[in-house]
Amino acid sequence: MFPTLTTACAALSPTQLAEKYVVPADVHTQIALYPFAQEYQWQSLHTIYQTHHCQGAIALATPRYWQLDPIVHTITTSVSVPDMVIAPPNFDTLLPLSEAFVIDVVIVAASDVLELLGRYQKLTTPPKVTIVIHTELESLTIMRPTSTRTTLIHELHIVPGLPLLTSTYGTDTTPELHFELNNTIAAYNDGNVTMVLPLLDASLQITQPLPITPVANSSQFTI
Amino acid sequence: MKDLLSSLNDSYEYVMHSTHSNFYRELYQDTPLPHITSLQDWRALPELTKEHIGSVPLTQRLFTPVSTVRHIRLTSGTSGGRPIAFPRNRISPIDAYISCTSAPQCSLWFFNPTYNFTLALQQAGFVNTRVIAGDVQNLAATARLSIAASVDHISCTVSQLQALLPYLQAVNYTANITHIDLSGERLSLAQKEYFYSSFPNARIGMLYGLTETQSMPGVCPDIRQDTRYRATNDFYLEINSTGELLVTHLHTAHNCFPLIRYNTRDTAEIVEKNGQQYFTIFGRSNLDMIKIPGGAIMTPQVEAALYRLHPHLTTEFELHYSATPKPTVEIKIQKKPTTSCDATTINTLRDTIAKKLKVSPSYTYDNGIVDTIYNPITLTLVDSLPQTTAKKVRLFVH
Repeated sequence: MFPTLTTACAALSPTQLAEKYVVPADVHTQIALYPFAQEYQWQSLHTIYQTHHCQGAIALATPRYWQLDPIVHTITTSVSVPDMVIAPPNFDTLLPLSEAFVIDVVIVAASDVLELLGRYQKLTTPPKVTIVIHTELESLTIMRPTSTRTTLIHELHIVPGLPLLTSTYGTDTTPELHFELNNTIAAYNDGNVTMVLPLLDASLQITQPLPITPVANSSQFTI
Repeated sequence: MKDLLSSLNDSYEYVMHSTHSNFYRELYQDTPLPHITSLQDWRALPELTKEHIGSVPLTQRLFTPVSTVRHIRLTSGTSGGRPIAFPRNRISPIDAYISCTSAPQCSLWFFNPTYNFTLALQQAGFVNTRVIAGDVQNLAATARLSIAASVDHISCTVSQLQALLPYLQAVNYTANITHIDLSGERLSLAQKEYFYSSFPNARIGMLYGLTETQSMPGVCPDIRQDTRYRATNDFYLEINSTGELLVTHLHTAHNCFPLIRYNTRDTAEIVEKNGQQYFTIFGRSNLDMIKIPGGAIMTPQVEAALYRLHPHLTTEFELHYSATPKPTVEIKIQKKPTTSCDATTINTLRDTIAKKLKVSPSYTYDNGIVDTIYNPITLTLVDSLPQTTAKKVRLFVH
């Protein structure tokens, strides 16, 4: 999604990636790795978990090559709950896992969310929250499934685990989604978003037009 | 012996005096003992089975507070029945990297969760090694990421390595792999040769791990040196009267679900040398063995019969067995692409297999044909057999 980022990550040496959690800098090409410090916190996941009064496990159902499990584990450790890994498209494991332990949050790629929501029909208690990760803005504008059995929250990720936009809570039934910009790394200015991405001990600044529109008298945006 | 009994008694008392779970107290209600004072006591304890574990909800078989559980994973379900969830709360530091004589630069793991292995590495002092997850659904992506991450160590099942290999070959990366740890399935002689030729710079080890346990019961650091597993210090191993391997967790303190005399359903042989247990796995009692009149057909014996049978044949096979009206075996063997065998050759191969296929130590399938106990083997050569990245089933009963 951001060629500048892929190029910068491709220039990192294996030694520089030591002691880091790595994810694909671009999920489509997989030619470079973006490094996260082991202390990195996926803050919106933590906030969503707390805001929805979750107490159960977090199930990670994104493609395994996205490398998200250590990053999710940091959050499950901080809230003292177990995590689970479900390898898409094999969602058959969701039912026995949910019977073994309450699952409150499932994280899934946008490409798999419809398949996953279909499986919720078999669950006595579906997850409170389903976080849908988009890696392309286009998918966020097209793919907006609704569900009466779970709260769907959409996030646009710069790389897996690093959200740029997060839909506001409980808006899955409203026709127009509102989004929060991850203001720890991004700022909006007149049609452009400037991101300052941590890259090892330095940072990489990327300014790019993004078709989001501020909501009047709010910190939120629409697409 | 005293040390062993003391360790076994510690495990027994840990589960019997637990304030968190009645699981073992209910299992042993007919044979309660205050202590374990002899191996005779120990062997009188009922075996723990997967079916029994599956009948008890996970939260009722936790021996530590629920808040200590860090991960829950399922058994694969390949042995039949519903998958069963097992909790994890502990990281075993070293055994996961058994083939590595030095710190790998990056490990490619097909098991989850990968953070477990990162922690294991750190506890073992390999602090600079990265771990990335392999994705059986996206092997091309896995191969590309392996290059980006400079992977030099792979840990996966035999089937997963077979599936990944063409993708690593396509990006010309196999020579970069220096260590491989295989698990989950038996490795046949032919597969061993194939992997050594495909990964010319790799040292290959084997791990005997179970989803049910939090660490590895057995390790084999280098299959060129010894193909037996060395039992690790975390476990006591036994063989039951039907040849199946039982595992018991030792050092159980803080273990959220310790196994006591758990029947793995793997048929095995244990030998002891200088107080150290070593073991060989023959296969799954319910997947790799078919009992037939006069003995049993076992996967390793079929593999041995097919080993270097004919240059046009691979060692990939399926064996289909029917007991009625008379024991009958059909073997399907995958042939190499663009090759063929004429009918005479196939008949010769069929007879050779029958002579080489042992159904007991001193009795071959051919003996059974001569004694009119069995029908002759039907041999079919096929272009391909179903590929799988899960545990492979080769013996089928009809």
